[in-house]
Amino acid sequence: MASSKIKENVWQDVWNEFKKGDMEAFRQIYNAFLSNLYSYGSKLTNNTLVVEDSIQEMFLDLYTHRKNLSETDNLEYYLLKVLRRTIFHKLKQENRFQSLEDHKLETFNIDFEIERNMPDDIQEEKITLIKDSLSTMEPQNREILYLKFYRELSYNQISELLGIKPDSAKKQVYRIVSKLREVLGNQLLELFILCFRTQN
Amino acid sequence: MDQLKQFIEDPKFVKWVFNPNEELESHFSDFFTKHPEQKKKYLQIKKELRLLSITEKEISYSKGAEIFKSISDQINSSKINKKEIRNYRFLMRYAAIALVFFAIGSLFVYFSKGNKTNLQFAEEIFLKNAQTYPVIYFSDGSKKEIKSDKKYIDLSLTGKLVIGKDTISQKEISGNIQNSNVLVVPNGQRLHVCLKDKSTIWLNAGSRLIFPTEFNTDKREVYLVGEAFFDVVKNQKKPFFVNTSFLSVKVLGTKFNISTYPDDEEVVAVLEEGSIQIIDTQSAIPTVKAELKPNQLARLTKNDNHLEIIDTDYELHTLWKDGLLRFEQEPINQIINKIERYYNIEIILKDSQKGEEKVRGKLDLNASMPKVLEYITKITQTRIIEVNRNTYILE
Repeated sequence: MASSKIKENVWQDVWNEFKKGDMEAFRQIYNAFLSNLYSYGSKLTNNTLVVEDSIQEMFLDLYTHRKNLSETDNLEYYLLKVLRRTIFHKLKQENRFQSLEDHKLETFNIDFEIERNMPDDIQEEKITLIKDSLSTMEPQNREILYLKFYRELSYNQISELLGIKPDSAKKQVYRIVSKLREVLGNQLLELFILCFRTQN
Repeated sequence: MDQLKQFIEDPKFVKWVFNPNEELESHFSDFFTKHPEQKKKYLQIKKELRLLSITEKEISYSKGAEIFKSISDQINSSKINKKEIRNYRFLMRYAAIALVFFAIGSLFVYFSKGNKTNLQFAEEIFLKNAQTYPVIYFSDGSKKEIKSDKKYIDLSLTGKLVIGKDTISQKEISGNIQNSNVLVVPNGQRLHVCLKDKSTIWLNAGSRLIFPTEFNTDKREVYLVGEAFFDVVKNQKKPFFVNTSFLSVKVLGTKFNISTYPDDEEVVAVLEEGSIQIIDTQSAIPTVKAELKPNQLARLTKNDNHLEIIDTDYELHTLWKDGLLRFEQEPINQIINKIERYYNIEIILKDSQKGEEKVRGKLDLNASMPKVLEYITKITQTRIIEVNRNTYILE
């Protein structure tokens, strides 16, 4: 925890430099967060152009309004929030006749690795079970998982970002993980037996 | 489940499972050495959670750089629109333009009187004037930047100017049609020019070409600093002269390349087709020093004014106009050097042994700089880290 605090403080200084109009600080922020922003953006929409345009637009907006930007204690969270808003705005403009509710995703494009690479030490039928439960997962839950495990946001941040109740992000994560364990239940036992055998 | 909660809420553990790095790997391997009894449990939970792992879509380095360039271009252009010209660098640009016009004035003196010191002065001034895009300065004081993707300018049509794919109408340039126009091509750019007589010229990075709006009745004369490939339209009655500070080339109609960068120690002319005469302008009375045949090269050493003629393959000297670098068994280090010079950047290759490896092939410099850098990461099998705009590390 201590190390992440120090990291934030580093960004605090760069952020302040950027707010003063320092292009080099601006560039540093862009380079540091681009890949995470792109990764998140391309999960929100399949349209790569929208993601690229949104990233360009949000950074341009950040620069234009830099003097009025609020202080932030987690820069990555702040940027993810701005990107999400920008992408939604863009998608809305593009589907002018389709109503697209705020905070409501039709899809969240997660490719679970398990769909491509079979772990070879887990029974096939169990993999099928896991795949089934993953593929039927709600877009919002997919997004929660992504934000929790990959962007390492806090439950409060996730809830705020998605406009849901503070504790429901936490509940969902536990629900999904419990379910996973349930499916794997017997597997654990088998592994122990296997270890036991080889040790003898 | 409670135990699992502990794991999920440990940021270090989560990061180790989904975004591991060397630091975390060594942290956990230290932990396992101290607590070997924990290892099995940790690994098991890691494996289970990994079932939730997903593929992150990655943005290419060149795409990221391209987006940043549009962002900063837009920031810069809006700055100018708002007339926030308090910027020192911007003032410097005006100073540079003023110097160019001063230099054009000096060249006039040269064209009429053959004053060499003014010429060398002009050469020095021109090179300090850095820009992003090729620019043409017309003799009436107006200028045009060539920002189009297609770096082409056609000056052969009366009352019209073609830049890239666009044609714009242009007022006849008033005043003395003998007045000089100047084309400035900054580092990292190239420009294809079509002159009034339909002769075409490819100007390489860091070059300047000075030419009149209308050629004389008895000869066509241009002045070159830098490197250019000429494809001159035949006209027996009006020979074409390319003047440099050290020699002149007289042609009737032909294809050839001249390289006369001020920083280089030699001036090199290579002939592809036809014939050219090398004229010594250093002596009091200009004399024809040599006549070149195709695939021959004339090299003049600047400090002793020594001229030699060598047989060569012209393609080695002219591929640049198609934006290609060709190398035969060249060490990667040397290729990196060329790219550094071309883009005016610094590239640090951490594994110096890799730099010794020899490769052969062609490198397409028409691609953007990030694309070229990406290519280098591929042949060196490295990852690129952008330290700042001008410095890159390959590791």
